[in-house]
Amino acid sequence: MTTRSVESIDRRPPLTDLRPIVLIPRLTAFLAIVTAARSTGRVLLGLAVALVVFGFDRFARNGWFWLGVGVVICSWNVFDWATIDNHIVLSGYWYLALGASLLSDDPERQMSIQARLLIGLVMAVAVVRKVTNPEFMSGDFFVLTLLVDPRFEPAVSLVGGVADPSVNRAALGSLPHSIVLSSASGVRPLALALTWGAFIAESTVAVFNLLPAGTWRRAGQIALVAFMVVTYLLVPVVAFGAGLIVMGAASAATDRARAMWSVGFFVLAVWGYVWQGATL
Amino acid sequence: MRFQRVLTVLPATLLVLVAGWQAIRVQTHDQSPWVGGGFAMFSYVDASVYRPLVAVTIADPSVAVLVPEHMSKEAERLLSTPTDDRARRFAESLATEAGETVHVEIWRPIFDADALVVDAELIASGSAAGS
Repeated sequence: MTTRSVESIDRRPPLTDLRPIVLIPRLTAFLAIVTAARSTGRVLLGLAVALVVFGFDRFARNGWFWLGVGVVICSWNVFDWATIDNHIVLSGYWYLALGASLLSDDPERQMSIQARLLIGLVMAVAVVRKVTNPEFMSGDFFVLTLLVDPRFEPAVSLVGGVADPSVNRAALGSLPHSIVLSSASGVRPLALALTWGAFIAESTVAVFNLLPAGTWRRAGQIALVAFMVVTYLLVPVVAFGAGLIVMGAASAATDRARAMWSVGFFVLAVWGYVWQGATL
Repeated sequence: MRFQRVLTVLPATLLVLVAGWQAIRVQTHDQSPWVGGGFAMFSYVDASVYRPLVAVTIADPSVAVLVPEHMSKEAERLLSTPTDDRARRFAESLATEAGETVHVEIWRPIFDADALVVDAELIASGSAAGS
């Protein structure tokens, strides 16, 4: 096996070229922007990455470039580790994985392997953390979340039956003094449904993406799509979802599947924007 | 070839090691489970956004000291990874700003789902005199 960079391939019209070697670096450049929120430095870096990728094809497909981006982001994450969200950490791993894939003998196959491995491991870790946490498995976590997290306000109003969830949120300001939350009869069943739904969905994605690709790749894709539709329809966590979409596209077997993931990326971004506006 | 092999396993290895390290720190150092690459989001009540940061003057504990905007990052760090030493240093910065002796406390939310009561447990505190 030799180490090399993929620097020259035949050119096709940009929007119709769905080969992983072309599409995945471009989607990853969008990911660099989406995950850069809340820090001016990270936003500038994300924009710089996107400019380089869309301005210079050679860099977009250069493994050393992406390794460099990965090293910078992961190093930055070390300094910010106490406060950074998981999607920023995951994006750092993906830049490294993309770099390693582009430097391999078979970049597209390696991209798919790396993407499935990262998706599977992220979900497996999330499941382990849930299973080992009694307050999650009992449903208590989602009871509190439904009652105080503004992101769940539409769900808890429409399905849970809570008339005005903002009262509970305001009460949180009285902590550390004890507070009593107001609830409704629909909240506990909804919390249990979310608890087991999350557990089953994440476990399924983990298992099917960690099993060998030959037989299970399609199942891994379907499980990931199902997880994302159910989860992000309810609460579109755009940055984390965008990372999963890029890796979903990287592990897809056909141009058609990659096209659908690409559309999904922008649908999620738009849905997140609309949803945020509606819940403010 | 060996370098290629290292590169190939690096992302997954980092993911597992960092997640394991974060999980240990959550248990041993009161780190917020939601941040730091542990992928424990949407499973723990103890999110740093729910952790109350209380800052009051020693002279009159009923007087709250507002955290200025430029200290928000420091406050976020304190809430995510609270220690008495970090709370004291935060109190020092606040005391300098306020010109008064300041006491800072970080609490962790505890939820009793049957009674629907949210309580709090003190996890770090510190004081510092104003200059």
